[in-house]
Amino acid sequence: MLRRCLDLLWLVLFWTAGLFILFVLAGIMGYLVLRGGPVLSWEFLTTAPRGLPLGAEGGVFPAIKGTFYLVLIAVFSAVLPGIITAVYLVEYAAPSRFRDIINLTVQCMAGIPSIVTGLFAYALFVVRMGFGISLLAGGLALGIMIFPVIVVTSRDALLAVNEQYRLVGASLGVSRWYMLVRVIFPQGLPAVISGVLLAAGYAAGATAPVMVTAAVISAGSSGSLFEPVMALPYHLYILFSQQISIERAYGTALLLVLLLLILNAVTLWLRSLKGKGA
Amino acid sequence: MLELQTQRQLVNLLVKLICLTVSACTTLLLLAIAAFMVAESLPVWSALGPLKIIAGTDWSPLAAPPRLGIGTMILSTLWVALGAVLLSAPLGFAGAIFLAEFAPPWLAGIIRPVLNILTGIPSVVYGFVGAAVLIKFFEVSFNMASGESLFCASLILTVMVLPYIVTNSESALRSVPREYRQAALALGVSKQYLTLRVLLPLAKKGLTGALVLAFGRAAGETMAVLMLAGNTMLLPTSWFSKGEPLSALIALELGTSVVGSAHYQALFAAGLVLLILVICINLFLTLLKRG
Amino acid sequence: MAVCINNLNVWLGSAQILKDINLQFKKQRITAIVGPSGCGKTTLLRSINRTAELEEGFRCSGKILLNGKNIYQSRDVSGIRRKMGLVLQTPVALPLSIKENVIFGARYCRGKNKQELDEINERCLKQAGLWEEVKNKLNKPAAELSGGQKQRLSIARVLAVEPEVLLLDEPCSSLDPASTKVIEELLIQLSRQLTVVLVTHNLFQAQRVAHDTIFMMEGTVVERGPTGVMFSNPQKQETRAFFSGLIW
Repeated sequence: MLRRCLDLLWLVLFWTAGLFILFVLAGIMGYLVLRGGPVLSWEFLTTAPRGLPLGAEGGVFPAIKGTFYLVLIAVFSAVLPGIITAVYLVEYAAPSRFRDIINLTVQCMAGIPSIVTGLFAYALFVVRMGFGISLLAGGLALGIMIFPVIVVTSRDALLAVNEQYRLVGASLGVSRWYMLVRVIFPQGLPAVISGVLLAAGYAAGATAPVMVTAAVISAGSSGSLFEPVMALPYHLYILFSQQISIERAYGTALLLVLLLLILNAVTLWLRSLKGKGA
Repeated sequence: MLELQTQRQLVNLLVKLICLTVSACTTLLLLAIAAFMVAESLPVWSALGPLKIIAGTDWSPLAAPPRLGIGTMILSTLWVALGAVLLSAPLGFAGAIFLAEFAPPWLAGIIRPVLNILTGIPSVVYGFVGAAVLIKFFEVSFNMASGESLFCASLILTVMVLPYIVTNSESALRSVPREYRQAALALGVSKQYLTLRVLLPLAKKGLTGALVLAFGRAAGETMAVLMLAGNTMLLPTSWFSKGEPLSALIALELGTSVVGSAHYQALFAAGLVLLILVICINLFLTLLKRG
Repeated sequence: MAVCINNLNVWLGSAQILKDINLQFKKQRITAIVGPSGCGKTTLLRSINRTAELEEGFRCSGKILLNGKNIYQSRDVSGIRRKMGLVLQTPVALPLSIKENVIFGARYCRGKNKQELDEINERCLKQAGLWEEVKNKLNKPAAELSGGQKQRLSIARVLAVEPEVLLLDEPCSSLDPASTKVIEELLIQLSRQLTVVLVTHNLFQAQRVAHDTIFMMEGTVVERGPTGVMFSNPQKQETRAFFSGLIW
C-alpha cells in the first residue's frame, strides 16, 4: 500500500515537471503578448525611436536593421568555415588524435561565454585592428560565437545521412567529394540549413558581445561597416535598464521572441521536407 | 578516361586539404582567444600577483594604485551558478524522466520543440522578464527597497538551464540498454521503481555531465545576471545578498575602461578566469565520456 | 585463378577477425561462403573489395592477388574497388533516380557522354534482369522500388563499373522467397562472365547456386570443396555439426 502511494507520488512529480516546462514557455509568451502586444504596430516596426529620453516614443526600425546586418555578417563569416569543418570531421578525418582535438576545440568554443567572445572581439577588432565600435566588429564577434553551433548542427546533419550510402560510394570506387556532391549534401542540406537558421536566431538574440563591440543607444544603422549600429536585444536592455519605456521594452522583447518562433517554425518545416526526400 | 579520374581524384584531394586547413584554423582561433586573454591581462597578473587578484575583494580600478581584486565577482559567479544548478537539477531530472519514460508520445512531441524554443529565447529577454516580474514580486511581497539578489539571478538561470538539463539527461536515460528495463519489469516492479532504482544509477555519468554542462552555461551567462543580481561590489554573504558576477562586471565596465590601463587589463583577467573555468568543464566532460 | 588469397590475417583493433586465410576463387564459377554469424565472412568480402580498411583499427597481413597482382600493393584503390564489385546485405538505393543509380559509378569514371551512359544503363539493367520492370520509369526515384528490385538495382550499379569479380554479402537475407529466386537465377547467369563470391547463411541457397562451397568458423577456413562433395560428405567434425544443426 505504501509502495503504491509512493509510486503515485513520484508519478505526480514527474508529470508536474513535464507540465512545468510547458507552463514556463506559455507563461513567458502569454505575459509578453499581454504586455507587449498592444505596442507592436506597423509604426513601431518602421519608425525610428523618438521622444525624450530617446526611445520613449516611436519605434525600433534602426534596431531591426542593425540586428539584421549584424546577423548577416555573422552568418556570412561563420557559415563556410563551419560547414567545411563539419565536412572534414564527418567525411575526411580518419579516426585520429587530430580529429579528437578538433572535436574538443569545437566543444570548448561552444562553451565559451558570449561575453568572453565579446571581450576577445573588443581587443582584436575594436582596439588592435582599429575598427572601433562598429557593425563589422559586432558581426564578426557574433560570427565567432555561432561558428561552433554551425559546426555541431552541420556535423550532426551529415552524420544523420544513411551510412550505407557512403559504403556504396566507397565500394564503387568514387571519391568522397563526388559522393558528397551527388548524395550526401542533397540529403543533409535541409538539416544543415535549419542549423544555420537556428544559429542566426541565436546571433540575433545575443546581447553581451554586441553590447561591447557594436551597439549604441542611438544610430541610423545605415549598414556602413565601420559605424556603430543599434541592435534589438541591446535596445531592449537600454529601454529597461535606463527606465526609458517599459511598454516599448515589452514590445521589443515580444518582437525578439516572435522572430525566434518564426525561425523555429521554418526549421520544423525544413525537417519535414527531409522526411519526404529520403 | 583515365584523365577524368585523375582529375576527380585531384579535386577530391584539394577539397580534403581545404577542409583540413580550415579545421586546423578552428583550433588556432580557440588558441587565439585564450592567448588574447592571457596577453592583455598579463601585466596585472605579474604586477599584483594572481593571489591578490583572485582572492582580493577590493575592486577600485581607478584608485591610485588601482586595487583589482575580483574575488567578490568570482564568488558571485559561483554562487549564482551553483544555486541555479541546485534548483534546476531536481526539476530537470524529473522532467527528463517524464519525457523518457512516462510522457505519452503526443505530449513528448510537444515538449521537445518547446525545450528547443526555451533554449533559443535570448538571455536578455529572460533577464528582462525576470527583472520586470520577479523583482517586482520580491519588492512588493517582502517589502524590500530593491528586489535584486543573487537568488533572483539563480531563479532565472534555473529556467534558462532547465532545457539543457532535461535534454541531456533524457538522452542519458535513453542510452541505458533496453534489456535492463525488460529484465526489471519482468520481475514485476513498478515503472517508477525501475526508473529510480535501476535507470538513474545506470545513467549516472550522463546525468552528471548534464549538470556540469548546465553549470558552465550558468557561469558564463551575462545579460540575465546583469539585470538581476544587483551589481554591487560587496562580498556576498548569503544567497539573498546582491552581487556582481564576472560576466556582468566585464559587460558593464569594458566600455568605460581606458585601453591599456590596469582597469582594462583586469577585465581581461576576469575573462581569463571565466575561460579557464569553461575549458576545465569541457575537459572534464570529455574525460567523463571516455570513462 | 581470378582471385587468390594467401595467408591473409585481418585485425580490427586488438581483435583478430581473419586468421591465416588461403583461398582461390575461380573464374566463371560461383563460390559460396557459409558459416555462423560473426565468423568473418563480411570482413573477408570487404577486405577483397578494400573497403574493410575504412573501419577503425584495420590492419592486415598476407596477400590478395587479382590476376596475379597483389591488390594491397596497388596505389589505385578506387580501381581495385571497381574491379571487385561489392553488393551489400541490405538493398541500398541511393536517393537518386533509377537511371542515376545505375550509372552512378560509370558517370564518375567516364564523364557526361550521354549516349554512352544510356547504353551502360540499358545493358546493366538488362543484365540484372530489371530492365523490363523499370524501363518506363527510369527517371523515377529509386526509393519507390521493392526490396528485391533494389537489390537487383544494386547489382546493376556494380555491373556498370565493369567489375571482374562480384562479391555479394547475404544479398537475399532481407528478401522474400520469390525475389530470392530471381536473384539466384541472375547469379547463375552472371557467373558465365564473372567470378562470383556469395556469402550466405542459407545453406539451401549455397546448394542451389554454388559450384564450390567454403565453410568458415571463427575467422578461419574450416573446409572447402565442390558443393556437392561438401554437403554429401563433409570431412571435418565442425562442418558436419554446422550442416546438421541447420539441415537436419
